[in-house]
Amino acid sequence: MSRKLYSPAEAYKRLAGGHLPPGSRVTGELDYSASSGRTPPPRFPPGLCVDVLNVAGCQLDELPEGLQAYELIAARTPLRSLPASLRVSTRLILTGCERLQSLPTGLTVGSLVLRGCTALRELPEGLDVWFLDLTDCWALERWPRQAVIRGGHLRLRGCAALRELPPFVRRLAGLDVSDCPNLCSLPPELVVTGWIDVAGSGLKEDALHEGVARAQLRWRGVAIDRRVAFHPETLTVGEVLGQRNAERRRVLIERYGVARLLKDARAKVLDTDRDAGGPRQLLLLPLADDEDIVALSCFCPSTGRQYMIRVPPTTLTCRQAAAWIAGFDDPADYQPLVET
Amino acid sequence: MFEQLLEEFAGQPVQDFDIEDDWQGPEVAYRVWQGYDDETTIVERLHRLLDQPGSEELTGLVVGAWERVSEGESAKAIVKELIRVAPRLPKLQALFLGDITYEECELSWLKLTDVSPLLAAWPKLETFRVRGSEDLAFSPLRHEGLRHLAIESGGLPRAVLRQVFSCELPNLEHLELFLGESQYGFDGDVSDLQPLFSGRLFPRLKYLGLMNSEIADEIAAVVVNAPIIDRIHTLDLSLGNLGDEGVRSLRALAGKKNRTCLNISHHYASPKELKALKKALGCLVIADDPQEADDDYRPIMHSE
Repeated sequence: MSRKLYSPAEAYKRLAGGHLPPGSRVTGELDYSASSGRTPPPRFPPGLCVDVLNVAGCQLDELPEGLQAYELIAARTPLRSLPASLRVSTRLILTGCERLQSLPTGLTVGSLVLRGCTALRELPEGLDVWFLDLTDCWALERWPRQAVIRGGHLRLRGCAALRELPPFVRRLAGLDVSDCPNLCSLPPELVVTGWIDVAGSGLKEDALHEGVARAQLRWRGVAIDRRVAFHPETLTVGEVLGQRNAERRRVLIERYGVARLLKDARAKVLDTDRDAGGPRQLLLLPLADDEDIVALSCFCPSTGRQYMIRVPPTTLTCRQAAAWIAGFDDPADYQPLVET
Repeated sequence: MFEQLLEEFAGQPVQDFDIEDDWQGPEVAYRVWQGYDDETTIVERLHRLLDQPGSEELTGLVVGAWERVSEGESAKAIVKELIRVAPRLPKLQALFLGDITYEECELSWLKLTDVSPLLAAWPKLETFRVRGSEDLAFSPLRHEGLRHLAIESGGLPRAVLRQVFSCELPNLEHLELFLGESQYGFDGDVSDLQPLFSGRLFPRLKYLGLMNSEIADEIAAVVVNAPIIDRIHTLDLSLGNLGDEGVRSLRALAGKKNRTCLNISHHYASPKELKALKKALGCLVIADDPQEADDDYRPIMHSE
């Protein structure tokens, strides 16, 4: 069946009047995103076929039946589910759809972006994608029995509930398991041809079997080697502070540990006082070509544990630092009655 | 940046065409252009060329700087004129739109237009190259003749990738996409190339160029897993910023069938990784023009 073609300009006009016939084909992009200033039509016709449909931020609680698109951007919408008849060939963006609970069985799309879909607990059976972004889907706990991820990227950053990757994940270009503390192993048959981001994951060096051994390790997007990833105890203060690349230096500081670094590098004491936990110190470590490290050293009044908390580099006193940590810019506003 | 004008195009020598004396018969690809403060317009040169006896036998045409290109004038008018004269060049097989050096106009300043009507005007055109990407568009098109398509850009918008991937080009054998960098208009990522990787498009494709890219390492890591790799003979990742990470990824091509050539020229890989790559692969690896990173900065060949 040949479809009638409409330009976006014609389509906007007809959609506003409710006159775009079912099954119309729109070439180009229909942008009804909240930032576009356009009011979405009361309804889209069934069977609409469009290159790009952007409804990001719209109060849209369902998509039309039979919608076909090269790309669909439905980020930050109150969608709870998608119609089974939806066909998106290349990219489906559902970032921040916090009510989304289910996706259609057999969903097939090039890239599926589900960042921050915090109500999503499982993925559909028969899912078929190249790139899958599940960043901050922290409720996700179950994989489908059958699905395919075809050699692209799998991003799982912050999926804290995940304990394992399913056996159907066989070959990837990139794998981000940062901040997945419960993920301690990789499927034995997995091959990763590009990179693995291991920051804050449960992976140890022996989890990197032969199929993934050649992959470039990353720490929050920054390329690192095995020593930095798995043996931070071997790092030296000179190595950390001598790193010229600011991004890499930040990773080295994180791996070395701010508290340990301030101690070992003999940070300057800017201020001292006491609170309910005991003595406090505000410490300064200057960094070349980057903002200085300023941190408050303090003790928890109930456990006695020492904490080292970074604060803005312009902070001058312990009191000011403690107020900032509690969310107050002006220390005069921070008058805690009890500290526990 | 493009410093030189073409000397050869689609197997023919390129000759500037200004006046009658420049005519050397139809076995030459003539270049028409208009210089800054030129008294002769590009359209006048085009018509002078078409007035030569035997011009209807021409198979190659090169379009250089068009009127007021350096002042931001788009290719719309010259494209319209080319479409108008298309019936006078019935045997045209190869067309280059935008053979323009950086001295005539920076790559990122070149303003194009929808080129699909131009391709439609020559259904038998086999080779089309275009330089520049601002306002470049490929409206929906089916073209049976096109075998060789190249888009030379310092930053190709993902909308153009989408449009190219949506065209029906059943006989396309050779594709070069200069992806460029984000500072000059590339607003995509490696996932924008997925329709190409999947192998569903362009059933006759043999030469895949994903070139001049600032995400060359990311591309390398994905393309080695892609079905398309099994049916192309040349993978061209040249002119970009491929480094050790990407070269290590390319070792996964070992054992793949059909491929006879991998081009990674203008690369930032170390001799050690290059050696390992060449040892792992059984095909020709072209790794000319090695580059040195400047404090981790690895510029691509053509951007501004």
